[in-house]
Amino acid sequence: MGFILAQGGSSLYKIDPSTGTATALSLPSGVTLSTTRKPRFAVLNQWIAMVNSPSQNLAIDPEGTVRVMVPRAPTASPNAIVGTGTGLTGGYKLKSSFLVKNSIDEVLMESALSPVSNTVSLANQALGASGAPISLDSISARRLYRNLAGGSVFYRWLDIDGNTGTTANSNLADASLELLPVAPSLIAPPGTLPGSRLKNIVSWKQRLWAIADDPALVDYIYGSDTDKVYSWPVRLTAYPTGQDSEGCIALAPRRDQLGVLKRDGLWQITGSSSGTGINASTLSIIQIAFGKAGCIAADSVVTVNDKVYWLGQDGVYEWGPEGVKNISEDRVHGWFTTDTYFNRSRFGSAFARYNKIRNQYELHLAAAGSSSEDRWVSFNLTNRKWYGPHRTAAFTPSHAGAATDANGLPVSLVGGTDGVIYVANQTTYRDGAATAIDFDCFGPFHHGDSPDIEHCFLELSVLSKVESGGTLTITPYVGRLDAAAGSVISHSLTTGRELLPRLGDGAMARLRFRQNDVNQGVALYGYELPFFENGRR
Amino acid sequence: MGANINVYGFGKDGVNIVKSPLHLGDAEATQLQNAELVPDEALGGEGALNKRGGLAALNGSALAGSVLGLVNLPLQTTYVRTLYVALTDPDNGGPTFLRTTDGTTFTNTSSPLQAARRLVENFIASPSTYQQDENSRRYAAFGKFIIYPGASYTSGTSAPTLVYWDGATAAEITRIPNGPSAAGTGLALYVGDMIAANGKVYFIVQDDNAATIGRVMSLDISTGQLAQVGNAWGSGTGQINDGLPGALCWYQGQLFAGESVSASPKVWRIYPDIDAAWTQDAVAGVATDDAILSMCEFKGDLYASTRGSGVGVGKIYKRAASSSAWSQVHTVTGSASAINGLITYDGALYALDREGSTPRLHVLKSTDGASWSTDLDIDSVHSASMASPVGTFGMPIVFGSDLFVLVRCINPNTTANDGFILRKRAGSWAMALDNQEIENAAVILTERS
Repeated sequence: MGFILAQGGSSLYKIDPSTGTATALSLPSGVTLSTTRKPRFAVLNQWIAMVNSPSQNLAIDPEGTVRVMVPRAPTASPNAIVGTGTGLTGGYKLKSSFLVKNSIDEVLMESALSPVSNTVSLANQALGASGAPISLDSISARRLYRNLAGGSVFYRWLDIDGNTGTTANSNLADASLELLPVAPSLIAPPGTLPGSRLKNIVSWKQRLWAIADDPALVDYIYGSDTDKVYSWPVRLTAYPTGQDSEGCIALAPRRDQLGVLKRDGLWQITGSSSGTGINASTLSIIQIAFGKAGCIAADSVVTVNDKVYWLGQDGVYEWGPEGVKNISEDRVHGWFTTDTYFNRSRFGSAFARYNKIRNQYELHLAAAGSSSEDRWVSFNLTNRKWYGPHRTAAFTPSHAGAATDANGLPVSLVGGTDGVIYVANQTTYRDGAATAIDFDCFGPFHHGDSPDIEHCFLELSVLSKVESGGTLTITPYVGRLDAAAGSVISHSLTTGRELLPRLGDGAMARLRFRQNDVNQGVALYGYELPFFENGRR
Repeated sequence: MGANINVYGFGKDGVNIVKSPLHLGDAEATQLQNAELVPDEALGGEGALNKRGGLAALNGSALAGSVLGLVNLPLQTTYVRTLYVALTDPDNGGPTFLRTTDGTTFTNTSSPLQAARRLVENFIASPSTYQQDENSRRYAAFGKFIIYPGASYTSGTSAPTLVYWDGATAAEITRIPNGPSAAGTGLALYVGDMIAANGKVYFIVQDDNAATIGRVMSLDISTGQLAQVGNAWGSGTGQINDGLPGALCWYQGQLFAGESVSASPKVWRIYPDIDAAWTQDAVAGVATDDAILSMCEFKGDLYASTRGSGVGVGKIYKRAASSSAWSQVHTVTGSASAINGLITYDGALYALDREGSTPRLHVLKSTDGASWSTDLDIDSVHSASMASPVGTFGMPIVFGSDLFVLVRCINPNTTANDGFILRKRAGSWAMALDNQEIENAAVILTERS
């Protein structure tokens, strides 16, 4: 059974999706988690990569063991010396790396290489090594590489197990070395050393892709080797550089494209795919949206099938096979372009989730005047309509995501500032233990296509799903656009259909439906409102 | 003029705050707080506007602060490790292994196939019984299963088997093919020490009774390919004209094998996927040594332990990483004494010191490889548990944060259950399980779910 990995405060937890039991995980020595930076995760080949909040990039294996994603490289090389024995002649030099291996000697992680050592001249002698570097990280071996006699290409020579021994000796012939030289891809990404960080990371085409927070590096995209969390040979540039303090905000993976989002545009990385992912030598990056379609909130990016959704400066964007477009401007433009509904200064802290059960993109925002993301809106991907703004009185959302339960079924999750992760779509119709969900909807102004005419609105008939209890509160507004709330009408949810009092006279009528009882659901099928025209006044 | 406003689909068109109030459609709204469409007739169905579903707490105990991020890893992430200790006398359909998940509570199980036993059916009596007892006889854990020599063969008549157990299924993997040597019958007689390294399982095979011929073989689990590693061993093979392999160790990217049944036993090494033949590393022992019983890497150096022949005594040798030179670092007393079971645990190197006539069975410990002390005097502390004659053989294994020493029963075909299991936990030794018919072989199965 899988687990949910979550950061709560400055701790990292492994959470059983079935029981909710949270187990704190031990971090590598010296690594801390920031509470002001959100963690960003990506899964590659059964490993979770974690960046941004940890002081060094982390990798978590399926058992929950937390390691630094790439051991820090040796800062000095071992010394190449004359060894004990015979067999080698020529100039030899060494490099070394740090390894993390599993129980059957397979390499899980390998650091970048050390600088090259001195050259030792051998005359039918063995090659020795002294002063092999000791790692500051938890490793299982040091790997030493050497050249062929007089050569400049390095080949795996031997491993010194553990992190204590500093010497080695071997007369292994040049011809007996491995055929392939050391992988040139042993390059560490930003965040390997404390101080710099990867600020975002995704998995795409069997590789990890990340962006850094260093002001000088914010326009670069870093890519790992296929299936390797520790080897980062790819670096691409989203030109033009140096145009914006944030540079690349987020990465947006699609089936065959990787989007790169800055505040004012969208770039696309493509390449020739292969059975194992993508060929790094064929990668290209081009800008496909300029001045629009940028991203303002890294955690608002959600991929659904071959489409990506995110919060831009002026609304929510969708990028798919049909191109990139603003999907909020024709219906809820004001949510994102005015200060009436949301605190736009906190758009950078917005976060989103995909609610698979409802097929909705759900975007969490701060209400106007609020300093926390205490509202969310949802975009139904089936009918492409917007709902909300939603709220809960049970807790203040602080993050959201998607997962699968113990049976592999999708669940939509919302984390709170109270340290609790909540599972959405519950038919209990309560938030937390006993908090009511405030269903509160304002309908349109009905005017019978003649808003200038005074009408008499007769008895309202409401049809709803038959419930075992509860009432739906209906507040009529009859009059002009500034009509005051009328007397509240109660519709019993046990009836299925109920004829309610007449609404009265006015040019227009509008209804507000509200249900705010704990454990009480509502399904409103519709209503009928007879009227006749009184005439023009 | 009268009419009806019929709205069946309120909210279907979602929120619209772009249109003027006079232009909103009947199915539109200006606010749909905590409302959603649920495409499920039982909950309202398409066309109905529903109250959104609730948010139920997943974790009963709050995390230590705001939930700042989360990710799902929908893989098999539950790992259960079980220590399996081979039992030696299941003739009457009894259990084949002891098992424990906590190192404290042991239970019998008959589900895995019987492991090869120290009986004539599975191990020849000649050339020396110490091959059965003192040599490393480790089993291999690989991925989600364990591999070990099975018992369903008769040494000298049929080929030894390798079997596996994954916690649910027990089956034979393969039988060991005859050796390539023209000497002797070529029939494999038994499988000895076994390790998992370099992505494969390596193990020792003795091929012939009289001529002490053997091989080191590899099993590639992913392809099922069984192969001989380097050239064969032993007199008459025309290859390594010396003893047969007795102990294995993976060290500095090479497979090391120590000789058994040889005065002045040697250590050989090979790059398994590169070299065609073994290279003699050094003469580790002297003339009064007659077998290398175990090998282990510790703090960058390689260590080997030996048995003394005749008046010889058990020793520990060290191969310095800096020079590749072997030197003796420890010796014990007593003719034909032996040190076996080198193993690292909690930052120290451990071994078992056994001498039959005194008798003696001690756990040795060294934190630097040079200075050795007795960590546990088994024959004294646990004299009541020791069989007669005292001084049978033990084998260590690390399980979790504990070190176990398995002391096998003297005679596997009697009802005298005189084997026992010792455990070192948090610095203290204790009897973990007494009066058992155990082999001195164990392995750890990791089950993932």
